[in-house]
Amino acid sequence: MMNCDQAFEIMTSTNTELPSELEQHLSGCPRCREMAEVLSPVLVELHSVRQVLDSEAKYPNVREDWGVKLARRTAQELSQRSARPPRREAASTGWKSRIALASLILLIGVTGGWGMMWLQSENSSSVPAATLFASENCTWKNPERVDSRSPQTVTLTCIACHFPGEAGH
Amino acid sequence: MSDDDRKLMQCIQNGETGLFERLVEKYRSGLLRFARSKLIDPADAEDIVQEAIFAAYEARDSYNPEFAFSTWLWTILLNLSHRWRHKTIREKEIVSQAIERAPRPDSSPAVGLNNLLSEERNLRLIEFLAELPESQADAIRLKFFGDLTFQEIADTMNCSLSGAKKRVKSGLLQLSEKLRDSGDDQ
Repeated sequence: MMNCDQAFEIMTSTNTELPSELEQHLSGCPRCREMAEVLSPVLVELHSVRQVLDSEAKYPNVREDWGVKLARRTAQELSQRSARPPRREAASTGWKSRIALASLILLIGVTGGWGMMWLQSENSSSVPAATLFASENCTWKNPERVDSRSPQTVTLTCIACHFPGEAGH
Repeated sequence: MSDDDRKLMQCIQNGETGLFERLVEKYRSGLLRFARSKLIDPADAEDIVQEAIFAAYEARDSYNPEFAFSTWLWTILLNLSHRWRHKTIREKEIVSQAIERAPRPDSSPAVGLNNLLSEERNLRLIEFLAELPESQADAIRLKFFGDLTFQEIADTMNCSLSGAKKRVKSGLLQLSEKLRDSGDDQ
């Protein structure tokens, strides 16, 4: 036999089909029966609101939107870091930072240049850059294309498609 | 707690970060329903859910497999929504303003009357929820929109199991009273 605590759990379950055990408990327990009667309208309303929230949850595709936000936030953090004034204690190790920054710039330049060349070799050489990065190349919108592209190409298409300013268009 | 979640998180911690998407897909609907019912504005709700997912991803290495991933994720969302609420203005004012801004349903006589009535009832319930103490309202949202069990609510809200049940029960009774006063259950 179900106790009052279990009866409350089942009453407030999001499952709309209530078990017969609850009916049995309610028939023998005036306190829970009264509770069920009092809560019935609000439980119906909550189920109704839930359905509305479900039907309204037509949000952008998670892969595309989440990836874009991740990339955008990363870009923002990078620009904030580069805009931040150097810390005083960094003076003694400034040469390390400068070497690291120079290496990073060199790496980005080499990788970016190589990637752009790679991209162009994957696509028709007569296609203009703006067309090259049209939305059909977007690997968030067309995830099946991911398999046929190198990681560098995927990254470049993301930057070009979602951050055209950063891509230099 | 699903063992699948724990295994997935351990794989993610070991570098298979692409698997995080599976967790996102599993929990996103519930997180969105909760956020939508609390923040009303779909854009705000979307932002806060993305923020919670992003925070969980960023902190993936600090995740302790002894605890449920779902509790961890829900706690992040709860804290973010709490912070968001206090960062802006009082919850009730936010809800009222958002409801005023919300587009009205189709009110053409042929198809719109039922939609209109139903929409107004839903909005009113959301408004009543915002009038409850935040802990009670959140417990109800977690239960009915997030599909959490009472134990999961207790873990997420850092209270006892009986405390979680009490929050839901007290909140529901107050909502019932508000609905009754508004003549809705006639």
